[in-house]
Amino acid sequence: MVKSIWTLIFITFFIFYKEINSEALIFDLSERNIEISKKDKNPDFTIFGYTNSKSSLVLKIKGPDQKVILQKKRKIVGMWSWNKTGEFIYPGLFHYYTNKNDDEIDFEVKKDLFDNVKLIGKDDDNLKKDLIEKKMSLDLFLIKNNSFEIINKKIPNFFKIPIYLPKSSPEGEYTVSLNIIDSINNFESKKIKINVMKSGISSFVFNFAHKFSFIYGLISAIIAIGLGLTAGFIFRR
Amino acid sequence: MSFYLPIAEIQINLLLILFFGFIVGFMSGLFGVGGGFLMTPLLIFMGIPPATAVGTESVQILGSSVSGAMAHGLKKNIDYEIGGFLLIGGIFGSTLGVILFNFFKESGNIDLIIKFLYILFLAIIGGLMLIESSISLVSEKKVETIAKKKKRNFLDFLPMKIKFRQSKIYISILLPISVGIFVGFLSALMGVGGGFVMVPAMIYIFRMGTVLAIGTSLFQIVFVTLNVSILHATFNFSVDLILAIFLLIGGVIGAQYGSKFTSKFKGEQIRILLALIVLGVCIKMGLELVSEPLSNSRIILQNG
Repeated sequence: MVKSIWTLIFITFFIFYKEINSEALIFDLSERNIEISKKDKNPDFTIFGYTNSKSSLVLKIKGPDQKVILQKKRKIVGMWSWNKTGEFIYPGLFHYYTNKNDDEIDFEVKKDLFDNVKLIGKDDDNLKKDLIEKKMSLDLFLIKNNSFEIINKKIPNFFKIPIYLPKSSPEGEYTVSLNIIDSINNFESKKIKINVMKSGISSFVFNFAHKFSFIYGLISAIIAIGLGLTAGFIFRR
Repeated sequence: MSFYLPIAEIQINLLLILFFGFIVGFMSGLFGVGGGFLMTPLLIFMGIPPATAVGTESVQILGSSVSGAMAHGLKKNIDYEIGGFLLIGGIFGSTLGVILFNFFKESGNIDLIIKFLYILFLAIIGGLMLIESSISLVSEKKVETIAKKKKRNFLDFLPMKIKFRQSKIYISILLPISVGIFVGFLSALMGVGGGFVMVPAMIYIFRMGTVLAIGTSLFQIVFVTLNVSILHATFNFSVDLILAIFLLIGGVIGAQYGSKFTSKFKGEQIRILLALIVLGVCIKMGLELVSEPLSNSRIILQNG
């Protein structure tokens, strides 16, 4: 009986100790089904959150995996061409938003990004570096420090992060997660899955051309023939 | 009227596309040429990736040549027998061309191949046209455009000769098949119809009449570009339908206006003007090929 009471006291103390020392980290999104905006000024969605942590925070947005070829320029008999240098599998979009601007967080984020890019076949760090630089130039890979905006100065624990996705972002399921990074903890909060889609005729044509390429070719030819015959008929009259 | 072209993957003003379609259509009508060898370079200069420019242009040529082919068909200006052999070669050559196109695209050399072929052909066509029309203009004598050679040459000794009743010629079927293969190959790699090769070949080598040669050439172009369009869309994902539609609309309207201006110029003047345009495009393409790209690398998304 005494042994059971001691066990209960120990468990209660342990729970309260954890609660007292834990760092609260809560976040959510303005919407889960995101349609990439045609207007550049409006954010595609906004992250709202609460934290009492003084540690470094990193919000990570990860897109669906893509397979790509990286080509580098080369000169052949005085003429410029491209040369296939490597095949990669990596998330089509990788955005990092941090609440600070220091070397440690920068290092952690770049390391995470580097580890998530996988070269098919032989590994080559220089190629990975080239690919990351190229993707960063397209805003598909992004590291944005000091990007947590305080909603109300009186309650500085509440923050928001406006997210702008580039128009070339791939469609599909994305993962959003918020991490605490410091020398002791590397804690990840819940992961939220979101669905990113593009609207409009461009997106429809792109998807159709890639999913049903033969039918797309056939329809393109039929439309061209139809337009040609119609024009011929109109102008003959 | 800015629009994101889904396959070319660039943001472009559609009014600009309509305008350039109109300009090339106008020149097609004025000079009596197909326009593919002017439109594809122009699309490349506008920033459309060369592979997409070629794939899309084949759709545009299909649309712009179909009504002409039908009109010639109704007037019985098509030799279907020769056209059939040209087509056999054309389908084979264009399919082979698309396979090679895919290979070069994968290896990253397709842009170089397309530009190099353009420089080569534009230099030859522009140069020959300029020389011929300049001589013609200076001497003020009408240059014989149709050479009815009676002398026999090695082509007359090729096997598998048959009589083509409509054209009234007796030639080996290997001739139209070979020309068809060559033109089909060019069509797949350069996004052209190939009339600029086929029509002179039919007139000078097969010794066909000009009208029949033009009609038969258009007949072959329709089916070869149909094959090329479907194959490029299926295997290379390089057909941008939205771009093709706007080019087609601009081109068809432009061609109607261009043809009205033809009678206002002398034949030699028109040929000199076309030769200068062709050589100008050739020089611009050459400069692009030797200028260092601004970007060090590029990413090609793979399907699946």
